Amino acid sequence: MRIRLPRGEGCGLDAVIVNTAGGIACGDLFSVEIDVQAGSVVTVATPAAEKVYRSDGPVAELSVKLSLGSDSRLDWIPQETLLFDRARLARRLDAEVAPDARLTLFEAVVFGRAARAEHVTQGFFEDRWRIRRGERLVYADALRLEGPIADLLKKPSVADGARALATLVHVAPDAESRLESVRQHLSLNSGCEAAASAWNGLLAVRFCARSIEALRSAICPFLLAFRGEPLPRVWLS
Amino acid sequence: MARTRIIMGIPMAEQHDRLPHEDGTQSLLPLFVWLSPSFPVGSYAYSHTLEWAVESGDVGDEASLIAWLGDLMLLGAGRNDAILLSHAYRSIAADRADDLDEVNELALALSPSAELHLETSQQGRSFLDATLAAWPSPRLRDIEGEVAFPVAVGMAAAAHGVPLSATASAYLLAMVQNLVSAAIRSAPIGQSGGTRVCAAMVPIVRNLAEEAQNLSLDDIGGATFRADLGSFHHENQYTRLFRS
Repeated sequence: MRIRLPRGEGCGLDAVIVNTAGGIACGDLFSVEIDVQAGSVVTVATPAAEKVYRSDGPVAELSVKLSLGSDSRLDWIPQETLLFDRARLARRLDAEVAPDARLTLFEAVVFGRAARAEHVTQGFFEDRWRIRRGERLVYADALRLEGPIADLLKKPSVADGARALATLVHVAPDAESRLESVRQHLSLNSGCEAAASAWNGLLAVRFCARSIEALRSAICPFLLAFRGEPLPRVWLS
Repeated sequence: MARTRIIMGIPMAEQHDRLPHEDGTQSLLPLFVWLSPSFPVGSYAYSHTLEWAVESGDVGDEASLIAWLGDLMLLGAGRNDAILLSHAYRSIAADRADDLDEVNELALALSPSAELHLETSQQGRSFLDATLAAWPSPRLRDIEGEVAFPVAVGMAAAAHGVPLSATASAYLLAMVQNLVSAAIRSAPIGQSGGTRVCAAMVPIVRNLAEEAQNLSLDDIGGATFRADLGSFHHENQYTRLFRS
């Protein structure tokens, strides 16, 4: 993996993480650590969807550790993770956030692109998030789809046939107060269900879309409105 | 921040002497009180997103309710709560206050939405307050701040020597019964249909409670992404009977 720092359009540093291997294959191990120092403003993105290829057994592991110093801001907005049939990926995302810092975490996963006749029938996907604010664990989530992924996604409690899922979690001193304006930006999109909730200094938004295209048409305007600045250039190419 | 208040000076021997009853058996009877609808916890006010699932058409009859509850148990909060309850139980049984704090912190952080956070933290606090008042034990400590419901139930059961397996089963079955009751109030499902759903869930609950006792906190996870999203939608549902 490489990190590139193109000229940003926002007020802080824009970083792009490039996986020079061109994707994730069975048993790969990737680790990313980002330390945002006090007062800094950083946006991290990826240049394209991260492809996770079929594995004959071993689980690929991707570990992300984020640390936010006092009064800093980090927007972690990689593009989608795209799983192929029989892909096996375990992702860990750990963030430590100073009480007055502002973190936006966004991750999307797509189980095959319908337009390209990609269908994920079997596989393993685990996405484990842990966010600590000050000394305290404030948010923990572990999405795990194991085995017959296509059958699981059909269940109404899982995805009701949707195949693109995304979660945004925002941790900031004023996170809860943004709930109403966030709801206004989640206008009804065809093929994408989305809603928001806020509690204990957190704001969470979830998207559940029929296709990668439906997800993109919902999240691009949403992220633009939510962040109040253009998406990193790599998102638009 | 949730922190356990540690009561010092109770000899270990005395604590363990309190575990079994005088005749050496460990009673299950407290579970019938603690997990009954009359215990002052207010479970009837929560539907754990079921009210939205009914509104959106995901649950509309007996078969869809069984499927929805099965997913909740095996792919969602049921399994996770049983793991959390088991770890809280063991941390009291082994007198490890730090472990209890860690389990409780994780249990609270796992709430995916405002309403589900309220559901577990309000019931957990009410349960712990009620058991501390009516079933005191030197092994049952208060937790300052918020306490998650499965953690509070695991703590009380361990403090009174109620077996873990029965406690986990009873907790999950109470969750099922509460949701079946919510379904009867909000969906086209009658009393006899609800009874059949409860009966159908018993073997699932029993197996899950057994399995969860052997799982670690790292095994916590789930697939009920859209059910959790339903909890976000429920906050804006026009007509609501339930707080979640």
